[in-house]
Amino acid sequence: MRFFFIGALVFSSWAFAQEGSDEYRTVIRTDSFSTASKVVIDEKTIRESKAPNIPALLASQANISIVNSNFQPSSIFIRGGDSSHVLILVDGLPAYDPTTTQRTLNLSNIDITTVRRIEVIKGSQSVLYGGQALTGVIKIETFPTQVADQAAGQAEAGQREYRKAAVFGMKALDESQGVLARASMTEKNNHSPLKESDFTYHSKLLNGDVGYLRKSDFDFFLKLNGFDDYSEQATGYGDVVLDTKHFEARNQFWNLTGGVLAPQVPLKPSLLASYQQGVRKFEQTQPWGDVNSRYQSELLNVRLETFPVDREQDQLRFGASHTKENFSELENGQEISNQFQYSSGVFAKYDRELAESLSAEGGLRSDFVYGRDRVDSYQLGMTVFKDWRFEYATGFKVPSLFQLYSENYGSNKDLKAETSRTLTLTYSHTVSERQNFSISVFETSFSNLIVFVGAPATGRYENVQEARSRGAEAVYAYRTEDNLKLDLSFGYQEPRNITTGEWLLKRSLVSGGARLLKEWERDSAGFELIGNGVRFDSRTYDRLPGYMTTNLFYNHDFIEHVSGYIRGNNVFDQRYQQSKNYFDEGAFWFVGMEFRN
Amino acid sequence: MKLRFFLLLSLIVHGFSILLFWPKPEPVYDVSEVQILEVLGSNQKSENSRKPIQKKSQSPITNKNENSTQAKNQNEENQSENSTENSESESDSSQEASIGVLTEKPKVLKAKRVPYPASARRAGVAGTVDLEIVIDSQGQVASASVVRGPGFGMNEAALEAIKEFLFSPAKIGEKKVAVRLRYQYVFELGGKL
Repeated sequence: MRFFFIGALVFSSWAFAQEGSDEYRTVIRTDSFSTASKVVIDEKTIRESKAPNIPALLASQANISIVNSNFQPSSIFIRGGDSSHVLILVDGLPAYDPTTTQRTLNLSNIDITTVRRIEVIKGSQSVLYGGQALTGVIKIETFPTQVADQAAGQAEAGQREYRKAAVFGMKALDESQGVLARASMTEKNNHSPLKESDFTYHSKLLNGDVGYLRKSDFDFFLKLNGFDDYSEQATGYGDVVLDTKHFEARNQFWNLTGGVLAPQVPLKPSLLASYQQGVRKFEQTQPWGDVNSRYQSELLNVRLETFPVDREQDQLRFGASHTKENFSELENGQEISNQFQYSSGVFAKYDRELAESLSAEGGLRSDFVYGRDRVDSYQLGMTVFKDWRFEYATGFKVPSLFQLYSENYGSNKDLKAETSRTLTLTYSHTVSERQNFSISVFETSFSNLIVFVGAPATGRYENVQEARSRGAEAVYAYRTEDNLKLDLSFGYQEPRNITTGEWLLKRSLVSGGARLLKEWERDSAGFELIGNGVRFDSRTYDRLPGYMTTNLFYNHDFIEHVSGYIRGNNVFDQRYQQSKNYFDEGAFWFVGMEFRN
Repeated sequence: MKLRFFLLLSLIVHGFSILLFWPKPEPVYDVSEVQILEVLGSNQKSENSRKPIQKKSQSPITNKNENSTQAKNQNEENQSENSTENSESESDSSQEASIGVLTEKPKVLKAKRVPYPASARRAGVAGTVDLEIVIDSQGQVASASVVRGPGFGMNEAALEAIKEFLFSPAKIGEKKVAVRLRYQYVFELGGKL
């Protein structure tokens, strides 16, 4: 990996070249204010925020609650749904670790310096993207849109021996094709999640990409990505967290993604495919015996999309997708479970402008899951006077292979698929060129919600319950002439298990944020306030108090292409409980230098 | 912190320094070789042209100098000869020249911005339309064609827009000439304001 890093550095030097003139270029952008249902974070905003990773960026930009706990990847909560109701797409295809309970991935493992654009759509998107997209989709794009010589590098250092180095280079081979390489390395000694402890846990992440991009009559891209995420961790039992020595977790994945898009030929077909292999392992050496658990996985995704009708007033898209996932569980080198699951889906979606102030859309999807009944999803939407949007959508989620077959932890092979029905009404009002306000009212009903029932050692996953999440989310944006940007967001939701009358765990009832950014000619500075209200956690439904954290950041452009910055996360050192007995690390400051041409 | 991290950091910082302060070669001409393809309306050819054109004149003026001073002198010579040769047909675009003799590039005076095409917006598609255009000696877009583009209504929108652009004419000395150049019309799915 280190050689790859050095290789990428050399490559980025080679790719450094005079940038092309913008004299003969016009750019049309779809810049718009965020709404309560859709947030787009572009490259400029990502760079400006200086966020150290994607979870930190989403928490401050998209009013998404992110919670860490032992063993699991960080949990993402959108509108009452958790990570198992949110689909993450990287370069157009689902990206997750098939061995995780919630079929998710740790967003921190995607190097934020490689991200070009993130789009968060809140609400069900199952018709276009299939299972798992019940309460939201996070679309992450990492591929450059243009072939051009580019080079970038970043070095950061901070508290708790944090250091990060990242390099990126793209070299145009000719006008229409180019090659790229990226690599990053991050290290940190994390605070113990126990409040009074002075234990530290080392973590190290290596990430690298090589890719090829062609932009011509048809577009083609190919990307090989790999990462190695090593961390020492605390252990625990239920909601008890214990400091632990030599307990190591490691995720090692590689992924090959490719795509062909041919908009010039009839039907405008696009074909995307990815194959991923990975291992997630936990190891601990103890006098009374070693712990050695491995979860190995394979994931294959293929997606074909066509546009049989594509006119100014209407558009019909038709497509199919196929997903196959493999899961194997090994305990001390002995395989104890080895299963696979695949599903194929076909979908059609039609959008039409009926009148100047009225447009409508409808979609249908059928999924055929191995060994299960067919699942159908629907989506109906209507936009009136451009400001009012009404949507009804259904979604589904097949239980993860971990929930179905893990021999280690509470599996239940009789689990049914979860389904959801969502009603959303969104009102977006552009008050002026500089002010925008948007509010969404939503209600999602879940059937066959999968929850863990019983004590950790003896309980198991069951889907006997009905749940409902309803609430409202609002955003307000204000821009001044002299580059001052203010964003406010607020959400209230009631994620309730109807069967038992209890709140769904770890979801906050109230969440909100404020963000102020000021840009000068060569400097920019900002602050972010992120708040989450009361949550309930653990089997005893303990009430976790709300919290509010403040982040600060400042950037200065020293000379053309070179900037330096400082960022402080949680600057008032709030050591709040992310989940029961799992405390946030508190204040964290770092400085960085960036070169980008 | 560990030694190897400092070594790596040092390598990165030194790499950047070298890149930043590496002397850049002086440009031979004050025109972008990347985008201007051809000058129409003079009578010579240069090795600097990306797309050399067929010479029609029997007495081409060579222009092989590598440094800018010489090039400038050469340009002045070219201009005097051009003005003699072309005095009868100043805006005759059938005669050809190279970008090497251009003393003033065309500049955008009026740009037409079109709305993001509906079908591209619905499909969530972005991309760059590469156009090849001829700007006549009056600065009007005389002809335009799409070299490549992402489709979904973006090629047509860009083509429609470019025809309404107005440029300041390219010049060789005081003489206005027609040029053929590459123009990019970019559609980006932007972020929040």
